[in-house]
Amino acid sequence: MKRKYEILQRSTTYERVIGVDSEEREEIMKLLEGNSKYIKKFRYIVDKILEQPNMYFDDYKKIKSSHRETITEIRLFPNGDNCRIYCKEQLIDGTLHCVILAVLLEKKKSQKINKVIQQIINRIKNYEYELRS
Amino acid sequence: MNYEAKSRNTQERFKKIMDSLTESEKIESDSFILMSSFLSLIEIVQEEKGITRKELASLIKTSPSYLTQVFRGDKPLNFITLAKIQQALGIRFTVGVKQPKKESTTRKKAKLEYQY
Repeated sequence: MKRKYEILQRSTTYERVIGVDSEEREEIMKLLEGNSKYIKKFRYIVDKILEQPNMYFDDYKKIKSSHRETITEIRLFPNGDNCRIYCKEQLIDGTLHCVILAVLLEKKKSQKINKVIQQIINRIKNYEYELRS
Repeated sequence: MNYEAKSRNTQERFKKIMDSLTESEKIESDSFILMSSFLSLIEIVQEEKGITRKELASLIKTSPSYLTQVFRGDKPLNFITLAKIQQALGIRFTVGVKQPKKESTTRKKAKLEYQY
């Protein structure tokens, strides 16, 4: 079954949009709401993804890429936090849709994190998206 | 609520969160976003010329970790460092202005000319 997502922001320069999985919307909103250090970092990353020619950098990386799908990771690491947000990129009618779909918040860097990330990738790799209607 | 209304609602809520910074925090955040326009072009030139971040740091006599913090938007890029990078890469930045229709602030975008 296709999952639903909603658009958060569109690029003013390129055919790119950032969306959020409808089921995960509250989690991402709550993560950002009232947290100025996350908001500042997220604004920087959103601008990079939407408005800059090269959208990938240290804090927005492809972690799994094939001809069918690209899974990416946003890293919000201000002040030693270890928050990672997982996204899936889909090309729809010539527009790149970057859909936020999972948040992993770890207070400390941990050896266990690779296992947790792999579990997230396994869970989300088969998601297919359509705009919420 | 139909799709357009739901979608508008989500976008408005997101925009409200992104705009919830204090005026000074917003200015600081905008300065990093402005800096990102220069850094993106630097990354493109680095890739074209096959220059790694470590090599670039060495060329401008700074540490790779400082450059990493700058490229991640964690530390500000000052114009002295920008001028050193311009010289090291043999490029020249020119500045243009784009006036967004609905926004009150003007975002300046960096453009690039090569000097081979």
